[in-house]
Amino acid sequence: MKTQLLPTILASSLLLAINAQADHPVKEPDNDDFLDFSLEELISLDIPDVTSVSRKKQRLMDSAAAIFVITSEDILRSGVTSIPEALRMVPGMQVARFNGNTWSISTRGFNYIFANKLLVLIDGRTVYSPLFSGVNWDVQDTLMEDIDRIEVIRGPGAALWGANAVNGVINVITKKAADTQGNLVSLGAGNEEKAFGAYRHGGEFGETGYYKVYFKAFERDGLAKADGSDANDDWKMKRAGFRTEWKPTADTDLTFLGDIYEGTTRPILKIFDKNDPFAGNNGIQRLENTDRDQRGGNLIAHWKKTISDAEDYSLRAVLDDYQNFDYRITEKRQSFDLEFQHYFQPLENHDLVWGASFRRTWYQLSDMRYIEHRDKDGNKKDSRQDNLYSLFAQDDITLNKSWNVSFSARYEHNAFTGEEFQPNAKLTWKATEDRTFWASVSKAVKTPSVSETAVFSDNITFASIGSPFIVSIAGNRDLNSEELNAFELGYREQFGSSFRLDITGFYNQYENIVAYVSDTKCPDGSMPLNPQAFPICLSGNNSLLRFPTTLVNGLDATTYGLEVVADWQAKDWWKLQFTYGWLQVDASHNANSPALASALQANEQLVENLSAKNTMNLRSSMNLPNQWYFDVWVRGISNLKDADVSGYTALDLRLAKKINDNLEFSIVAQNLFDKQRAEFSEIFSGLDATEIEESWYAQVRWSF
Amino acid sequence: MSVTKSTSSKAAILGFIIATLLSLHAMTVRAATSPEDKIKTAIIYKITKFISWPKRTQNLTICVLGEGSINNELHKINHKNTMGRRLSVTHRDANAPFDKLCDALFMHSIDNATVKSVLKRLEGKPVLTISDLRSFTDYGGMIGLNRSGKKINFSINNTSASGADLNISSKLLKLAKTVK
Repeated sequence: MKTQLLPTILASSLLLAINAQADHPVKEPDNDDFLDFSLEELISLDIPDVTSVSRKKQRLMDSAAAIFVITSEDILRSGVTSIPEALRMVPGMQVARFNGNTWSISTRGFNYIFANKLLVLIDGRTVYSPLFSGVNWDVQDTLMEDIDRIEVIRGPGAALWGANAVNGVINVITKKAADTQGNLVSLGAGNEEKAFGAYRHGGEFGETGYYKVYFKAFERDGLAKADGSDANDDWKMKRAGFRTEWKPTADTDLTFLGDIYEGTTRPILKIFDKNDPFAGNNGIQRLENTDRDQRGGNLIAHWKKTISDAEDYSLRAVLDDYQNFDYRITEKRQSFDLEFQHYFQPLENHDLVWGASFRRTWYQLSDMRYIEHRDKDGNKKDSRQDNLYSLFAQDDITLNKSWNVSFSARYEHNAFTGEEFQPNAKLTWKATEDRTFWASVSKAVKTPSVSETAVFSDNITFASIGSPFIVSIAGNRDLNSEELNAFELGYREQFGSSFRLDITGFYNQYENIVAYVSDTKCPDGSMPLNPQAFPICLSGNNSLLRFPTTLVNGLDATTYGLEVVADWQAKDWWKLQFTYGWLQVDASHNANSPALASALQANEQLVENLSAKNTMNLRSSMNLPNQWYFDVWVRGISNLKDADVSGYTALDLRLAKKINDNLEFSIVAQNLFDKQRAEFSEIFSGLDATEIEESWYAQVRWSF
Repeated sequence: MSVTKSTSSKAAILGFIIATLLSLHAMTVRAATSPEDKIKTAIIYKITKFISWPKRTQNLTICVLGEGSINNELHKINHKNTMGRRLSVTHRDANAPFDKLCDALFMHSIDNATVKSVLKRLEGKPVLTISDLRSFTDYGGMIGLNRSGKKINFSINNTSASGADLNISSKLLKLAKTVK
């Protein structure tokens, strides 16, 4: 058997034209245009599709969800060097960098470093930390050049993707080994991105197999303190990964992928030193240059059997290991996921997907200096194991050429609240080939996390009323799930071949949102002074007052807003994208006692002021003569009241020159005209906020 | 969009959806064509330009076996010209005498057993067989359209083609991902 690679005869101008097509999944040429393409062009064309909404491939224009796709070209041309930074492109997404390695990323409200209503998946592997109910964004990475697309669904995706997909689903999808053959070297350096490099090699094996391996490493400089000095919260990471796919038989696809990583960050910690409480500043210590080492790895095996175009089965197994050596606690977590999925067409116009999954998570916790995990009797417990079972189904019904309806639901059994049921109904109306309206109604839940139910933190949260005091936080085993009833309406239209509009409106009703209230017990189990009105605990040496708090399902909230995307291909060589997000949050408490009500009123304000009301992006991509490329990205966000961060506008620029198809030089400047800028702050984690600085880097990318 | 008015109540929306579902259920169904269908159709059309048949007639007939959205696209190339011949696209069922009626046969969305039996019947007959069925060329089919990642490429079984007296241009063989 003779195997030939596709000839590299395509003129680069042609490639550009085709790339422009790939960027605009909805802007497909009509049939005659494709017929005018040469065969060479046809076989190198990308088929635009999205998978996250319905778990099967679907045209973006037809998706009944507020989906936004960050393409690989968006990533490369924006010059972003991490997944969190790429997410700033998404309409309505609020991305705030808290320090060198921590982000607050959220959509449709509840903007927080422990933002717990977003489900984040990388190649189908969930990266939501059930211990701290957030995402350790600093270890969620891959070769940026290998990201095929990031599909972001704003709004609930729980019926298909499971609990915690309440306000959105972020699905990072990497390129197949078959699409990343050959070698790639990427090297860069700059003032904040001190040095980074990556190498990838892809090859074939057997008659149907492809593989790739990659290695990347980077060293990022620390951010700045408010006074302009170096915060020393540097961030170093090394990562190696592989992917292989082949067809053992004609109708079977097997994919294995995985990666391992290790690295160090040095976040500034603010803690109350129990051992030396009188060492100045009331015993509140700032720990700088404390290494926080993290390492981990994961392995995904995916088997798919295709019976026909209308039926397939797949099975996915995921092993994940994560170890976090934090000064406040050492966390080791392993999880195993198994998921079965079956797609078929029981009737001519029904597309049915159903599946079942099981997850077991093991935790080992040690060095519980400031964050303790406790059993139900209040004793330190250094391990736990949780199971999650679920079952889901979706029926996607094509009623006729222009109407489509889908029903989906997920039944889930979790370790905290037991059974949960999350249904969803969607309706799509293709008014014309180029105009789509959709509506969706869904129920989703955010199940309580380990941190909210069994974790006790002390000596790391401070507040002050005149003089500083410690807030100790006790988990509550009796928490219920937070519930969302969501209503969405969407409109998309393609105007001619150069302009596209995508507008989504949403109205969300939340119940039982978790809130902080006074606890009736001190962290050591003793009774507080003044237990009725304003409980106070005295620590051993009385150097600081301590207020015991716990969590209750005390709040309801309504959020509503609008998200707009406008894409304009102004010229063949010039593309513009504008996005805008508007958000309103209104919280109310559900307390019946006056004492509880006053505590919850403070929480209402907290929830209402977490997020910015307005966000916007304007991106311009120009393909200039002689293979020069110029990109501009302006983004703006209004103020964050809770974080005490005023609104700002940021500017990024990228200039690139392609020497030939395989060699590219670029210069990227980020956060221009702001010497440094705070993007977030908060008190609960014990981490200190640091500020982003103006930065630049140069990069060379060579494929051979 | 009558849905807009119903958002105030979940029950109303569900009711609306169910009512729509019931009222529209009887209407005919035609699946929308996807970009993939369009690209596949264009590839099939282009491929005919690189093949020489032993007997040249004014018409070049492409028969289609199998149901699906791509058929709408294939019908759009009906009456187009390819190398001075007029294309005619017709839909056939599995028992049709393909060797008498067709110059090319595109099979899709049908089971492997049918494909194999059709290929057996056409062995040595000058009918260009094309399919997007996996491993089509391994079964003895001549041109297989394969999806790899986001792209569609094709493989050629030149042994089958030359055995059927069909001549495939070297340019096409070069563009194929695999040739046997």
